Amino acid sequence: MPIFTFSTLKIYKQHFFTMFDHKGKLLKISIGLLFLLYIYCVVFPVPNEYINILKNYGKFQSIDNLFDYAVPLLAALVIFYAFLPDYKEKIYVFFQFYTDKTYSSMMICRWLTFVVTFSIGVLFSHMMYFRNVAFLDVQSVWMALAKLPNLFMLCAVVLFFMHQFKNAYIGLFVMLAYYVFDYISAGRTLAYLSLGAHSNNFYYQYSPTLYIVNRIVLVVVSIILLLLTCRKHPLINITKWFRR
Amino acid sequence: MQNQLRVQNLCYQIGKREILKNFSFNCTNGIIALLGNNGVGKSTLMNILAGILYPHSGEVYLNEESLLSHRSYPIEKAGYLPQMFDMYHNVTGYDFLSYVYDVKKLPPQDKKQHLQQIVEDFSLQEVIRKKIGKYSGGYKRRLGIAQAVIGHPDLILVDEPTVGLDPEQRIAFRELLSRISLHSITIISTHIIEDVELYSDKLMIIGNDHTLQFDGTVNELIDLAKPHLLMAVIDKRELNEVRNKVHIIEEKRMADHLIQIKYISRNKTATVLDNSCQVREVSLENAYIYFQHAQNL
Repeated sequence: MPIFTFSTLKIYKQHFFTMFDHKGKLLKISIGLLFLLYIYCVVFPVPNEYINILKNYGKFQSIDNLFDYAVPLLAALVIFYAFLPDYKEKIYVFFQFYTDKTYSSMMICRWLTFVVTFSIGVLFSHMMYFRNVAFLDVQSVWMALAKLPNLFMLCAVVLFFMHQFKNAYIGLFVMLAYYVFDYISAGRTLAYLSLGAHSNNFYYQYSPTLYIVNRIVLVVVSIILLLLTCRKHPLINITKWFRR
Repeated sequence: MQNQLRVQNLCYQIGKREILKNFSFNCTNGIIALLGNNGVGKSTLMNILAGILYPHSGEVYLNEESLLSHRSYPIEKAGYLPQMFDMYHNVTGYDFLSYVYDVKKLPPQDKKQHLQQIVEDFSLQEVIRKKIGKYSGGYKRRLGIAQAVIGHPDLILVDEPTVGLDPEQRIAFRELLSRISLHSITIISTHIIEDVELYSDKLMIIGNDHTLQFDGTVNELIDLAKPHLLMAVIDKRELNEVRNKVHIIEEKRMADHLIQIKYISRNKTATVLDNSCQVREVSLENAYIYFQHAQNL
């Protein structure tokens, strides 16, 4: 069964600025943040001797934290803010009722609107940021795409826990805990679920393949979390375990 | 059109705790009130009927069409007003109703006229273009029920409709419900007995054991309770002593230190006070209290 149908997308598009993001306020803020990021990347690109730095020190740390940690966190905070009233005012009950299929396509659309906006922003900014290393070639595109799984993961984690606990602040707390734990442990403790595998470059030291596995795992887990979140009748119910 | 809702052997549990046990009933157009103590499963039943929760076993058919299909829920045939209804505060009432109309996939050519009719029916003209955040509790509740009736659904579910409303708003709300129930099955979950007495055609009581204990009309419940309710006039000073002997369900102050009490004769000690007589006028509240008391015996 298709999650999206043309008619659902049409309804979503028609009501996005009146229902879900009044006058596009949050979308404008997101685009504004991404514009500032772009300006920063244009003014302060990575140094010319970036590759040499990698070779000498064996790590990207602090250079790539911007795309591995800072931007995904911003995106996750935007997702938190976008869905905050749903859980604060219990509006999610209403949307659950108006989900006529197995998955809430409206919820997926709302999540995707912000995640896709941030992804596009990241792709453009990243290309400018690394223009001294590679620009508008396959390498630059691959480097930029490798940054997206972090963004997907944090945005999926925050929404998943908000929905599971029906409490926005628990979602925020779990997402921040995951983020801070990964950052402090330099991405090592969470292994394949690490956000900082790139910034801290530890997988590169063993095998670049492990890094690719890490990226794929993040994308797959994000998709699973998103689908679990948007199911009308949850397959798992975390709050049930606490009520026993 | 006469609609029919058929619920068969519904069971729902959280962990090992049973919330609904073998719940079965049939109903047709009219207002069906769902009564029961807190935590007996009223809201759970409403959520199952609204397709929000999925039961562990059982079936629900609306006009012989299953409501529990995993693949789809006929939102165009149902309306739901949750207990804590709220909407994004910066959305206008009209934009909200317009969204609901579109989500129900109703014919676009009739949209303007249908929404206008609903706004008039629910006297929302004054506030419909205002942001929902500026609505009073009464208007918000009215908007909530207005969205539930969009598309004239066959089944309308209203959870605790009059909570938080002042007496005047409650009267207005009762009138609205009576009107919409003419053409649909309207199930109302409530614990305000007064509301039920005034507008419900049928009454269902969920017992503390999470099963359906009573399924009938208000008069049937009153008839059931009537033989077990007695009335006596006692001295005010004896009240505490009498309280220890019988289960008093109503007290009415009279002149000269006298109090008229209604009490349940059918209790563990089966005490009957002197000069007692059968209660002639039994209210639904009296009958409901008797019913709950009898369950615990």
